[in-house]
Amino acid sequence: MKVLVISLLRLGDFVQTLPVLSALKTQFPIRELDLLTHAPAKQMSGMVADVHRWWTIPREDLQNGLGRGDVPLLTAFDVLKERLDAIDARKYDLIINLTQTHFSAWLAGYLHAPSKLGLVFDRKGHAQVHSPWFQYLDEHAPVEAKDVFHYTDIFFYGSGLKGSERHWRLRETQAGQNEVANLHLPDGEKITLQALTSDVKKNWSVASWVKMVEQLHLLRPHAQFVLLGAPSETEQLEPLLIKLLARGIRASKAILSLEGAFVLLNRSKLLITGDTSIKHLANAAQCAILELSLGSSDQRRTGVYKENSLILQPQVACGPCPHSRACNQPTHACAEILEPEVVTSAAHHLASNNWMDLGRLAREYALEVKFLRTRHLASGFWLAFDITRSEADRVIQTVVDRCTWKFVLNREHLNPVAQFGSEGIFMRRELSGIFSAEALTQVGPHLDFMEKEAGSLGQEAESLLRLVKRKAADRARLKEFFQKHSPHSSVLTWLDRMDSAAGQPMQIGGLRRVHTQLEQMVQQSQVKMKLIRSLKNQLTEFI
Amino acid sequence: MIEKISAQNGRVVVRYDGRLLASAFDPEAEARAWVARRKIFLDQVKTVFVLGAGSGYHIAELARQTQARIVAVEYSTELANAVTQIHGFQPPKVRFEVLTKLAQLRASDVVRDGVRNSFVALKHAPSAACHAEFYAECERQFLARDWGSLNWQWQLKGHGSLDKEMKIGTEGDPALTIYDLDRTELSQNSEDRERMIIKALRELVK
Repeated sequence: MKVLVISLLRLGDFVQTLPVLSALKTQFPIRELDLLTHAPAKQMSGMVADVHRWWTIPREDLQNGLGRGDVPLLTAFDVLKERLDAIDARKYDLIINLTQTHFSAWLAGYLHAPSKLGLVFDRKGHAQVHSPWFQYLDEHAPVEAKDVFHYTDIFFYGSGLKGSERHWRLRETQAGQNEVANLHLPDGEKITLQALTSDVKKNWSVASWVKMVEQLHLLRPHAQFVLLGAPSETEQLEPLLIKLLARGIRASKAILSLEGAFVLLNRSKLLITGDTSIKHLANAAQCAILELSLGSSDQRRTGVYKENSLILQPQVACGPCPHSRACNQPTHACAEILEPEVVTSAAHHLASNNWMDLGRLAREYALEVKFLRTRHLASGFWLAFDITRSEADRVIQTVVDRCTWKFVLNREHLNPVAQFGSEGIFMRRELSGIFSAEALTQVGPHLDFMEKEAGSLGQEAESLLRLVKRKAADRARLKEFFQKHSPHSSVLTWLDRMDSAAGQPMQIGGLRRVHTQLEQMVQQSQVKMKLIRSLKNQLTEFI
Repeated sequence: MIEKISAQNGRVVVRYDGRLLASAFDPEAEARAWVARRKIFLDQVKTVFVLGAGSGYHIAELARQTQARIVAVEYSTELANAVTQIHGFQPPKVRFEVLTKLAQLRASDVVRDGVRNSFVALKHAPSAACHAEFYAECERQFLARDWGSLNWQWQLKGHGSLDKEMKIGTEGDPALTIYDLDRTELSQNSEDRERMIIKALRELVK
């Protein structure tokens, strides 16, 4: 079997697909696993063991070529066509598009394969996703979406993979080892700092970094602080380095390729970062990870995946903000609220693996910063929970909701021997790992409330479904229902369009979408009730 | 009238009709800078058309920096011979097409063969200035940013004639862009796979 995986987003997003590549090789009889990325991602080719052939799209050239009058109009067309035709000649059995963009969807549509997964446009421009997981991704794209799966989990299940294991496999290269050897870093504890990111909104100020390192140096006097940066960041890092050295701190600059960065992370005790690519790279390395989640960084979808990492998220109403827009606050609120003292203490305790003191610290600063500990649940998804443990009801709600989605999207509930009992055991185990037995004795009423809520939602969806089947559904009622229970659904767009085209007959495609969504909501409420009951049984036995 | 003179670094450069066609100090450094300003698509295309032979240093530098086949379009046979002699260029890596009219360019098998696949066209300004009108016409033909040359290239590439399928741009539009191509009948109604590539490219410049 020959498989082509398309990943045409930024470098950090590509790194998030590593567990997919690894699992594809173990779960499917794959002879050739090939990859199509933008050119910059190929710098990782020496580190990724699972890929047979690595194709690239010269995105920058294509964009520049299209925009410049001195380049032939058809050069971009020819270059892209020749590349795609060469890819097509490999005759893939399966194409998986992990990129939810129109550009990648046209490419996936152009290429031939008997099976395709992910967003694909056909010749007429009709979109197909071929997996309910990618439909989910589409409908949960807005930043305002309440709870979402991590992208790595969506990519994983969307690719038809099963199980709870996520392997972040990267190998050190000789070139990377040489780069780090040439830095002549002393032996002993190294704390790596990724102070710059690709988006100014995600940056913490130089003054904050200096103060934090100065304090951390007092707590960990033998630590060597390494300022990690890409070649393009050499000059920008200089002021920070000068200030640290002037304060007598053992600091050095490490301008490295991704291969070098990975080796350095493997030799480090701790990474403190706000940068996406380095953060995801560290998932495969030995170091502990402290993520500063600022600006547009959305920890729910792209947070550090490695278990027992710590995410510090300032409590601001405007975060996470949209990627493409500049900060709309009078000052960089999220960065300012994150005080150096908090990061210092958090970094110190994390490097010492002292979660008890981290819990105390989190409670002390609960009003300003959220301390989120990452966990990979046996149910098969990632979760970052507040370590103050003050939100048992909310965590339970999240866990049950995600298990429900996973059952429905993986069609597990259609299995005659669906594993509701086992899922209940998994959920109970995870919750008892997070909360005390005492806290769990108090969640009964909340579970009863959730069960009732799921039941009434199911009944309402069922009654609407009956009306839709008889073509007697009231549009206003449908709209109200979807606005309340599924505010990002594409059904709402269709209903709005119907409102503006009053008097015209309803389009059959839109009606079908309403029908499908209502049906899914009915199923979802049934699954959710079963899972809640299973969890209640487990908790009763446990307590 | 061709004169060969020695540059300050000892390299031979050409003076054509009184115009010096390369740096009299360091023609190789000049050629490196010339190529550095024209890197776009250089490692992606199958053919690089060079408009003007100059003293050949820019062609030699290109030959070092790209895997593509190089076709140098030159107006003067004498100049083409002189440059070949200086650098020892050999087909198929570097080929000279000596042409004096646009019709010859359109009819040239070597040119047509190059246009069928991906290419870029790089104008060497000092040599192009010697026959400005001819080279300007050649450049327009390669850039395909007008209706006639676009149609010529599109047909050569085997995608059929655009005449029947295409309603494009407005009269006197200075230069066609991917937006125009996306607005064609071809792009909107055809089920050809080429349409999907145009649509994909359109997404890149949205």
